[in-house]
Amino acid sequence: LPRDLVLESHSAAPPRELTAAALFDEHAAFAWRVLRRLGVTDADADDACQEVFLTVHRRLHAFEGRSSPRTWIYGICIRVAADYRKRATTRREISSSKPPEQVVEASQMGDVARREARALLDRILDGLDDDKRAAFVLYEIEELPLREVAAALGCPLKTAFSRLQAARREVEDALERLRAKEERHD
Amino acid sequence: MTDPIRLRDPRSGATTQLRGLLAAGRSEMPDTKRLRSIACGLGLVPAIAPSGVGALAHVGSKWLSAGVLKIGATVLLVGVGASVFAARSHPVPATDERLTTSVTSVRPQSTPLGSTDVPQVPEQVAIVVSTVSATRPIRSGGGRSGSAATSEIVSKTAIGASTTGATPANEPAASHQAQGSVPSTWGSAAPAPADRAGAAVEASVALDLALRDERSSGGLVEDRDVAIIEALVHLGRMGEARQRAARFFRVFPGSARRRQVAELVGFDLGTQNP
Repeated sequence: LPRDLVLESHSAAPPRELTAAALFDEHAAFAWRVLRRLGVTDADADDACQEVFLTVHRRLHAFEGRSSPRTWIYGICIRVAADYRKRATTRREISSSKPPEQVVEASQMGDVARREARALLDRILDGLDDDKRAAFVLYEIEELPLREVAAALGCPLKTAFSRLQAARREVEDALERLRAKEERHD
Repeated sequence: MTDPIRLRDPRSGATTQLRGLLAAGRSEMPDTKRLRSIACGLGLVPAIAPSGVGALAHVGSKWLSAGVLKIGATVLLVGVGASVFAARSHPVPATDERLTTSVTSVRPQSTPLGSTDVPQVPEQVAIVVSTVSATRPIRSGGGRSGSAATSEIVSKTAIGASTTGATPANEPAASHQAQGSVPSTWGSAAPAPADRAGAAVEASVALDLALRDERSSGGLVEDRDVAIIEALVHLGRMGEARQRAARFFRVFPGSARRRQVAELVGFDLGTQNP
């Protein structure tokens, strides 16, 4: 990517240099995480992240600076993840109710617990529709202000708020169902 | 409208489990290796350091290994075929005899292009040994009589063995000729040192050229093109070098390396219009 793209901000602030490379340095890790929580598998996350920053590179000249670069990039992540989920190739993996059994050393138990927790979280998030999922991920996991969530989703603030509330209810219900199921098994 | 309290905040009233899940979701980050790989794909950082001799050697050795395996397999097949043919046409003595073939392959050295020193080129990179142990005479033209013999085929691949390492120490060198079934040129006819040096230089430059041509994406395209032109000039392929140079001038009209390219192909930027 060329490192010399300069963004002329339309805001009152003086023009600042905003290069694709700088944006990558600052936001790539977070974009990658958002993509994962938005349903992109670990195996495909790198490619999806690359796609996001290719879009950033292509569209940087059209970015007007009305939202923060972070919000703009998260908006791209949402679209890339939505496209990813729609593509038939993503259905090659067979989902299973239990994570595959793995032999791990004791020192890795913390990692395993976190991985299992993430797998559970992703399963719950899979139950949400795209809009609610994006609102929930951006607000509860990425901890963006609701105003930025609305900007990334391209919807009014109130809509973002109602999506978030609905998503919260569904997530809590899903957890409740899971807990009840586990109690029945015990 | 104020932002609602986030679920990760204990004041939100969310269960500990849900807060744990959210924390776990937040904890997943790509490691620097993955980020670097993504950045490489975008051309933000070079995939292979331009002057990385180690990286070049690594890729080169992978290519060579693949080539060596192919050569080894081919020679093994030819060796077996030749020995079967020999067994049919010549009776084999009852003593324990072996048929050994070997192949040498040239590993390119990083010899400076301008150097007049003869590099130690013919480093043996592959040895293929076909051994046939006969326990009793094989009749000439005996159809399937070869199956009566106990046949053992051993194939070995060794990187970095010495030139004479192909033949086991207890193996009489004359046995190649004595068997008469394998072309003697496989094991013994090494090219003259000057030829080997020339081959090594050419192989080295060609490998470099191929590697640089492969590294085709990203911000190093300009560097790559210059390196390719340089390699072509060293190979004496001036026609191709000039074509590449013309393309370079067309694609990178504002490049700071135009002058370097022009000097390489003998192009006068002052008087000639690329």
